[in-house]
Amino acid sequence: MISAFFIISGLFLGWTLGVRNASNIFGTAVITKMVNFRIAAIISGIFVVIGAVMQGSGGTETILKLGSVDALGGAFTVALCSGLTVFFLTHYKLASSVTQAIVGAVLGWCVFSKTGIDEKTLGLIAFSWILAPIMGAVFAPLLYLLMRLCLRWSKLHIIKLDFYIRLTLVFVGAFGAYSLGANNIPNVMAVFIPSFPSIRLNLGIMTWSGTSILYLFGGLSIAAGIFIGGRKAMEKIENEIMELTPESAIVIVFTQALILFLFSSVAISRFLQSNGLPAIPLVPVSSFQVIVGSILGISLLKGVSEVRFNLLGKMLTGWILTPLVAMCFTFFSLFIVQNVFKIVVSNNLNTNESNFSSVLNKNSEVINLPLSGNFTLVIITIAFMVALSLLVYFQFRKHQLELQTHTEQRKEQSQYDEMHKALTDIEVKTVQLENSALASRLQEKRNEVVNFALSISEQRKFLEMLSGKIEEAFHEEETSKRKEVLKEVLTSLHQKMSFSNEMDDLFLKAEKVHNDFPAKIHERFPDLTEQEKRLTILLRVGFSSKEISSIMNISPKSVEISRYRLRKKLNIDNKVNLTSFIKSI
Amino acid sequence: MIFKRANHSIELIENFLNAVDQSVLLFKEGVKYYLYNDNERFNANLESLAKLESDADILRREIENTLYTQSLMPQLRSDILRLLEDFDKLIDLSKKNLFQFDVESPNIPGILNQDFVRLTQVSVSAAESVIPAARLYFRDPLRVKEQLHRVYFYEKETDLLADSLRRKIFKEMPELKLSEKFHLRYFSLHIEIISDQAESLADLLSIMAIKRTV
Repeated sequence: MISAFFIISGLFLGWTLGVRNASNIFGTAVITKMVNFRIAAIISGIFVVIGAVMQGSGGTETILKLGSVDALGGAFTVALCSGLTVFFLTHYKLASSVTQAIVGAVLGWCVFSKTGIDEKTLGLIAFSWILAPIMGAVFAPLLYLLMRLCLRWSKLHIIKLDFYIRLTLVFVGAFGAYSLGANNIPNVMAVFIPSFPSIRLNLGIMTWSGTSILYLFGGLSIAAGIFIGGRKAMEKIENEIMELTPESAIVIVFTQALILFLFSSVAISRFLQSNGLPAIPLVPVSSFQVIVGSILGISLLKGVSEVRFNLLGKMLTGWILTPLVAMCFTFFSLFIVQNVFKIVVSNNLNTNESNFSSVLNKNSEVINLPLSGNFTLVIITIAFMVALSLLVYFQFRKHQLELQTHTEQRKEQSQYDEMHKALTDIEVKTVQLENSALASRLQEKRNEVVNFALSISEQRKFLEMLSGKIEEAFHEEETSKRKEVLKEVLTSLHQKMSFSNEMDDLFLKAEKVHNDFPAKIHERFPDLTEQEKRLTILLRVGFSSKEISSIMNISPKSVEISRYRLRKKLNIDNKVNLTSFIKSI
Repeated sequence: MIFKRANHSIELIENFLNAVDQSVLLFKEGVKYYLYNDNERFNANLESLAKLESDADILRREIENTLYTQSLMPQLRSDILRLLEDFDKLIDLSKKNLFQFDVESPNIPGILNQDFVRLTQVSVSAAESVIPAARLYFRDPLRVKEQLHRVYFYEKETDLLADSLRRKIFKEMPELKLSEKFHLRYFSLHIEIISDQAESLADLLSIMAIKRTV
């Protein structure tokens, strides 16, 4: 029961691993909607568990060689610290990996428990971490070329191709999940194996050992991580590493699955050894780093401009920062667990005095002889300081970036506001202009109405007068008087025709068009009569003599005579054209 | 079952492209019949084209439904639907423009018959060349560009022919009234627009092919 409680931290680590790696298996497939998330999660869950149970033992041996955590309390702390390291580094958007975290944490335990570090195993692990992405960078472009050739050769219709891509994504995803379970289960459960009770569970058809039960629970915790946090992780990662076409995703996920499989397969390793070839080390490797290697390989194949160098940076930070932070964190956590909670974290330490001062004293004792204990402490302190500084630096950088983003946003907002204001001002001015134009048009219309009303009243008076005169002529018996009355009527009619309001309006409008022309004429030639002034306006407007005669209700000959008189009054030479002269005024 | 569905969707797309092909052919023949006063055949073409347009609409909607309900090609779906809509516009234009001949009955002098026939043939050739390019997009996107250069060639040729025809109408035919000249100009534009639509389809296909090959 106590054992079950202690493996909770391992389950937490498994859950973290599931959340982080869900997007590496089915990320692109789900984001591009080629595969439904539920189907992806079910397939991943099932195959992760199968991979963990069937092939999880490969990398476990390596982790145990590095450091065999012999107390459940220690295993609990190591797993918890690894999980928390990954959790916090991810929270601060720093690259991290469960694989590197657990190795760092085990190293922390080794240092704390003074069991010594197996340098050969550590070297092998470090070599594998470098080898895995390089293998990804080599395999992925080759597979990509092969796939491209196959697609070109097959000439499948896009709809059939879509179907095959979906199917392949599911198979490759399942393989990816299997390999993840097989290769990464030691990260989650290896630390518990030495201290876990040696039990055997007989289920009739098969017997489960304690290790298998641990693998099963570890696998289930990874599956739970994929189910619960997978969708969010996939959406989050959308614009980062897995923003790929479904075709590229097939290649990358397959490469990742293949490499993880190779690094966990005991059978292949033995086969290679038996044939005199170098064995592939059975080491848990980070699937993220293999993916980075694969993407870089494909990018290089496409062209240097496609290479996303920031991924390289992320991978390097993952290699250095994660183990360092995990190691320091575990070291201090083990100290607290052992001394504050009085929980045994190492059977090796349990035989000695187990407190920090004793560790220091022990080291100081050793100073005189091998110097190694004190040296380790110094290394640990430096590593801790470096990790702390890096954390502070990244936190500060994140804060600065946030500030920069805010400033840019504010700048953009203020620019937008200014533009908006300018636009509003223009709109207001336009509206004002429109209003003034409308006001002047309204005034004009009002004047027209008033003039029209006055004209009607005048016409009415005139017609009444005419009617009176005609009636008078009608009743007049004397022919001479009647003729006289009728003549008067005729004269009135002629006069009316000459000075009608419409004519006045016409002249007014012509004056309006030619602004200060009447004033100039009056100033330069004050002797001109009203009739002559009107003639100058009509000539300036461009009317012909015939049109003028009709407008002024006089004969064309009279217009000619008026023009002659006007020339004389204006004192114009015979060679000069009258109209041109008037237009030049 | 899934293969059956996929085959059905492929068949729908093929049928739709066949409908586009037939519509431009009907348009080409229809213009010829109009020019040479074969009213009976012209009317038959008009009816066939109207039916084809309605069938193509139904096919397009069915393809849209299939692509969405079966969640096919989520990344390329919007592009493909846009392509099909643009092809549908080509059918609509063919039908609409042939109907304009029927409704407005433009008075085309016999001397211009050859010019109009040539213009129609070249303009329709642009449309005819874009259909194989679309078929290639679905199976072999790398070869789409090989086909598209023909579309651009025919489109340019159509522009030249249409310009020369309009020049002839306005500068060399004083016997025509201005209104008649305007009318003929509109009909040259109606024919020219088929190649313009083919060109815009070629542009779209070109980008879509690049997207698929990257």
